[in-house]
Amino acid sequence: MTEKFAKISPFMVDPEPIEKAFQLQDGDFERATSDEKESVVEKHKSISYWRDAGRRFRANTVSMVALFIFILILLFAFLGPALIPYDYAQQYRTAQKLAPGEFSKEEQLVQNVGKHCDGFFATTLQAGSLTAIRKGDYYISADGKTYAFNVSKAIEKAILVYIKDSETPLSVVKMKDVNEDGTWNDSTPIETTDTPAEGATQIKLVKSVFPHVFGTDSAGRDLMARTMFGARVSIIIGIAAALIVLVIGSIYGSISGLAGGTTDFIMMRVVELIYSIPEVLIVLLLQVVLKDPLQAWFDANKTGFVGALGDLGSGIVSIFITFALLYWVTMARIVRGQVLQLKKQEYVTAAVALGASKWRIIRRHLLPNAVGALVITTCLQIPSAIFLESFLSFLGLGVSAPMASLGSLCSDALESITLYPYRLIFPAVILTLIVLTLNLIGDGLRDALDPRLKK
Amino acid sequence: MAENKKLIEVKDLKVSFYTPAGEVKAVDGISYSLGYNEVMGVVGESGSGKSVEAYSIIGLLQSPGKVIGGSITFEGEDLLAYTPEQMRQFRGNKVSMIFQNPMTCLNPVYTIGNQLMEALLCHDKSISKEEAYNRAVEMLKKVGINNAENRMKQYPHEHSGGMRQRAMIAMALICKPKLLIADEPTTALDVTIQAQILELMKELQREENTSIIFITHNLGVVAEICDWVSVMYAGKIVEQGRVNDIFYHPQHPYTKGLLASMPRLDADSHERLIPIEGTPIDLLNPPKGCNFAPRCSECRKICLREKPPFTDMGDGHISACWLHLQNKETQKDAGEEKPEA
Amino acid sequence: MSEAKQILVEVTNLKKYFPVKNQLFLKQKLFVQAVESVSFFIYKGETLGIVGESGCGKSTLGRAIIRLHEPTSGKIVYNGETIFDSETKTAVPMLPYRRKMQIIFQDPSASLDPRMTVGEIVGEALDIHHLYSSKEERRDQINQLLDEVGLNTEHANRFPHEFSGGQQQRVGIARALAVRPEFIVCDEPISALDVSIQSQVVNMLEDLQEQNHLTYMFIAHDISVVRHISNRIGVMYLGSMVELAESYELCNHPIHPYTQTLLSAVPLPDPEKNKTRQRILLEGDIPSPINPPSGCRFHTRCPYATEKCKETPPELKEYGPGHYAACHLLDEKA
Repeated sequence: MTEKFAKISPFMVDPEPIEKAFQLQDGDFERATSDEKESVVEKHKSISYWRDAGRRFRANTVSMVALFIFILILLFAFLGPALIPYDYAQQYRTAQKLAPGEFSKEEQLVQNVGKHCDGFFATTLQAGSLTAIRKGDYYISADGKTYAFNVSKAIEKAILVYIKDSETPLSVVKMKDVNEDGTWNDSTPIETTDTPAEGATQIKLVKSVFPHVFGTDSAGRDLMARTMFGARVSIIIGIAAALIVLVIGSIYGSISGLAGGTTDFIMMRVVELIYSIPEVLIVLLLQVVLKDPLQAWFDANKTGFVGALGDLGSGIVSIFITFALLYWVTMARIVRGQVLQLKKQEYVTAAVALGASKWRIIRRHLLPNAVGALVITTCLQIPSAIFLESFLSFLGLGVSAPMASLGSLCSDALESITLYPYRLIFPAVILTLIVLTLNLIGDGLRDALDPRLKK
Repeated sequence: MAENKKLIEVKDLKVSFYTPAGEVKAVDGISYSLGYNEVMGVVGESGSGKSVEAYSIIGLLQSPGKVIGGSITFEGEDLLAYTPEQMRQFRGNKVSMIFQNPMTCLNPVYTIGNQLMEALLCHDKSISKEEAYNRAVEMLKKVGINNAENRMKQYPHEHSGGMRQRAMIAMALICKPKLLIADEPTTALDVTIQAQILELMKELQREENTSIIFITHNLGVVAEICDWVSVMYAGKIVEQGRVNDIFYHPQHPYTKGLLASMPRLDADSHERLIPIEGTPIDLLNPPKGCNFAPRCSECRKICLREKPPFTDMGDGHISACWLHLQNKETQKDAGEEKPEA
Repeated sequence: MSEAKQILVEVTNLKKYFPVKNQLFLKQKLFVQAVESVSFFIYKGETLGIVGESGCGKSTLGRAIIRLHEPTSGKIVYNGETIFDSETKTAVPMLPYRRKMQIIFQDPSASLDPRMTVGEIVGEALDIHHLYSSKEERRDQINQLLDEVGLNTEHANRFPHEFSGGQQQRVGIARALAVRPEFIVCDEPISALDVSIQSQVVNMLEDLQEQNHLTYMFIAHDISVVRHISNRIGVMYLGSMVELAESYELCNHPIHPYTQTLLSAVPLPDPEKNKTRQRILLEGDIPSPINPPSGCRFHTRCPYATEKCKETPPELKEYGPGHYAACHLLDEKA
């Protein structure tokens, strides 16, 4: 090896002479086998489209955080009510206008009583229809034992106190006999037996008063319970409305896109007509016009699907009808656009060239490739539906009392906004979070499902 | 070797793309130089890095791409050290670029005339609008667009593909740059239009003494217009030399393979093509040895282990292949000194 | 080629016009005159190359023959059976013919459904025509097809985007082969591939033709490749066929002015030859097929155009054994 190799063309910078840089070995100039050549090439794993999209979505921090928060909200709205003893409609006269975490005077008193016993049931504070124990048979389960008793006359404004190891564990303490510190001056013991009578009602004892985390409103309803309920209502309405829009819109849009020609032309002009109608006006009109007939219909059928609709109220049903009539147009346009675009794809032409029937093409080529767009659009429809419903409920046109949605909660809170701002803050924040997170999730889905350049 | 003063010198240029999947070594240490009034063809397939290195010269490399090593010297100045302001003045003025698809680089909302004049005015603030207009018209005529004054008022979409390409060439040459970088300028054109454009470029090059870096994958076009050729594969230059050397005495197995695998219009009979086996490599995980080894019909064991050095064949003809050293070794053993051409 | 040549495909006066969209209120409807009265035939077992520049209608022609585009008028006869005839208003259902006439597309990344695996893509052809009696048989057929095109059978579970362009094209070829056709339209099958891969695919197409006794219609804009793979070549310009001859004859002795220009415009990978070659350079650009020139469509750029060329379109006539051209000037010479 001479210097000839060290000096390379004037194009090159001076490299090192070969002797220094490389160690040539014996047999280096033997031919390499094809196996050896293959071993140098790396192969990577196979990933399907959905898994790849999932990976991309997971990599998107903002969307993942949004998804996490949305799941928390879902848990809040759907599991929450099981965890708190308050009901959205139950009014507690003794606990009106409380601030978050605040206890009313009565509640404080009962709380103090709880420190001096092993369990209690305050007739003024319990949720459900029992604000007073009416005459009848009841039983209590505590520490593995059952204490059954009956009352001959209703017990009101009293506390059923349970003290484990006393002779008569169960006794009634009248509120007026309770002192500030929770001790009581006088109590009436109750005779109990081991076996409850047929059809006896169970009373649940508690050890402390569950705080009103969000406070209460002027009628004494727990705001957290109401917010949970309102969130549930808003989300369900949003999803139901989005599904209605999805079904109607995609059927219409795909027929229009597939048919093409004059049919498509006419169908799209209809869409444009509908698009130009002011939706809010229609909702208001429908509300007014349909209120009585719907109410009559609900009154006639209290069970089943109609019964459930009746619970929602004519306001909500009007919203659904409006969605079914007017809101599907955006989805129809998007689906039609997708179908038109997919129709032009060369793999559809290839399928035609193979002899595929129209149904096969729709089923195997168009639908799977359109699913991404459908999912994204539906996901983004939900927040706008929720927003619309909130807006209407805020105006007083959506849900009717005692039903609550986040919008109506905000509306209720308006009148006393300076005194009790928290009444507006909680539902407004939850509403904002729902809409925001759904939009971010939808955006993340769009980025994940839309394959960008894979350089 | 030409004794030309160097117009541009690229030394050991390295460009990598930092993608989420990892580092892609798009250009892995290439060097070449070009004198005044010379045309160099950069030949390669997709993934060879030929466009990327051109973009680094003119400073148009976009993230996640970064120049991570080497130097580019233009008339003695270090281009990689330019500030954005310096680069802006440099572009269009000393060095111009034309692209494959003229439709995407002509602004559809401005007339051709407007864009031509803008190119002039932004580099030479001293000339008047009237003079800029005249020079623009003259330039359009020069590139063979008839009815130049009318064409000045028209928008890009009103021109045909060939005309747009000519307009783009006009825009690139209007400031009389010393170097023109042409990134696949005729790939999207029909054969007869391509012939026209190539003639035009040859003519303009002669007249204005512009040097051209002509990037393409079409060996025929290279043979048509270029004086020098650099053959790239997977981010590296594998062979480089005068156009006659490359076409008549190719040394590197890749160059030889390309030439043998092309169907020739001037062939006399139907001879089966000799393809290059295998598929282009994945730049994310390049092999340890020579990048071309897995596809090379002459691959030896050392090719899989070490990257080959360049061997000088004389007169600027270099090739990076271990086989050359084997030949030299056997010749040395046989007592000969002369390298095999 | 065999002595007794059978005609497999015969095309007579095929026309395909596309209406220009968005014309509701215009009085005169505009059409893209993609293919203008083309007639030719393809022998069984041969490769007919169709070459031309943009707007010449070669792709449209290929697709019209297999009725992916329904022809505007004309007659197509396949193996003696008329599958389309505008005069007698015949348009047979194509499903049985889809087994005999297939197509390979230019851009494999667009012509393979990204949501389907390679195995499903190839298997779809088998499914449509019920070409198997059991699941195992289907799998075996798919594996065999993948093997024939040089792919690994384990690739059947992968998605198109995981492959390189050349491999994707092989999948496209396997799909076309799945129905065991007799005739394949190759619509620019290598234009989208890297240069070093193109020759692989060309060789493979040639091998497959021999093994499976296929007839090809090979459409491309690169005349070097077309000449290599074709037995005969047809040159198209703006919807008309201007010359048709045996490959070497056409390339060595072109008689139509356009063919001569086309051949001289191709840059050769041979620097010295390029310098010494005679170049015919045309003026101007290719006219639009929406508003094609009258008479002979080439007359606006032809260096030899006469008055007659402006008025009357020339007919494709035979000027030598198997050598056809459409040019008025050749009549005068004869």
